[in-house]
Amino acid sequence: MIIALPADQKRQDAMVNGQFGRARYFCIYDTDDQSYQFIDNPAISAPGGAGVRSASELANLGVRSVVAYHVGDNALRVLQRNGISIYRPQSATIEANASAFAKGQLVKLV
Amino acid sequence: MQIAVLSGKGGTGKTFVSVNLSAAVDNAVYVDADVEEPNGFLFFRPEKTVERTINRKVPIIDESRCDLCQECMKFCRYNAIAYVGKKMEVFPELCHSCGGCQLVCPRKAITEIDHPLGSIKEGVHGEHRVLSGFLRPNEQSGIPIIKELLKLVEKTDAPVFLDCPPGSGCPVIESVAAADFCVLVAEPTVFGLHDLDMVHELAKIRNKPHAIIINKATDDNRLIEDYCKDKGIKLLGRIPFDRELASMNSDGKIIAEQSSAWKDRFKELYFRILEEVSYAANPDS
Repeated sequence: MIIALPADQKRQDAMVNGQFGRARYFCIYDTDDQSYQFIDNPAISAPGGAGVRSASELANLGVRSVVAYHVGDNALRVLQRNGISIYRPQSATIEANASAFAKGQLVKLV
Repeated sequence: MQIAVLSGKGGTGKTFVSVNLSAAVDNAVYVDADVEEPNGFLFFRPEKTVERTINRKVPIIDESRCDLCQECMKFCRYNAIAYVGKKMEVFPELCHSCGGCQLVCPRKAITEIDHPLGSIKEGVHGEHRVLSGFLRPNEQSGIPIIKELLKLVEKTDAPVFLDCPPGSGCPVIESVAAADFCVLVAEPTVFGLHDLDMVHELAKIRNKPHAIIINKATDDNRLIEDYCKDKGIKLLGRIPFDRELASMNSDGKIIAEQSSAWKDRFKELYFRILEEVSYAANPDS
């Protein structure tokens, strides 16, 4: 399964970003082959609707779950309509959360 | 004649000055154009109030025509259209009503419907017409409401006082569009001075004759007086930083109606404004 985490930097040991729609980067993690990929958030400087844009982008990339602290109303709507679940991060870094997700240890929010 | 009251910084006393000017001047019309946070009606408490909804256009997508090409989504800078679960979905609160999606749709699947943006209330307070715009929470821009407010007062012969939004951005620029004069309400603080300078720039760029009223004036600094002198701006008057005024104002009372002395002072301010307006029209006389 492909999951996404908002990230502060393009590194596995980076922190999970506190924002979703305006996070600097997204980490795309594939639980099948444990691969990490980092993308720039295309909505970082959007004049509006950043959450909608980033959520659509993740949906287009085949993401099935998102691990994030906070997701705004509009982004939530796009994620849910695309059947993407949201999980609460358990620890600070990208890699710790990615592996916790793979082990089924994260709490599903919606 | 339209007199716009603006200030840059919020909380300097735009509403205080415009409400009291309106109340002091015979038959004057008061317009609260600060549609994001209108508070003029807390003072005027108008009677016979009539409310009208103001709408804006947002797209609606005919799913039977839409082939999910996503051209509308790619066009929209505000990301108000998203591809969700095999259909295109509109987010009306993000839409800026530009109509572009309708133009770029190759399948002509997009039409427009009304979306409530806010309202305008109009009533009377004694001899005064009073109007106020109200923007609905979650809406991006109150400019269409400000435009409607200005239309409602463009033909009147009575003096109109426009209680403008704070700042110096688009809503303020729209509010002063038809103004004959700008009253800049200044607060003698460093922050107040900074924002006063921005709004002064705006008045200059829009070629609006303008002058300054100091509100909450104290004797311990001359920040605004020095600014007026430095820039060659007329100072119309000073309203003191006074406990009694503040107390009456915070009780929602109109000072010009509570005290005849203050009514006279606001009338005098109005006559000084008129002098400035006529001087701006005929600088040689």
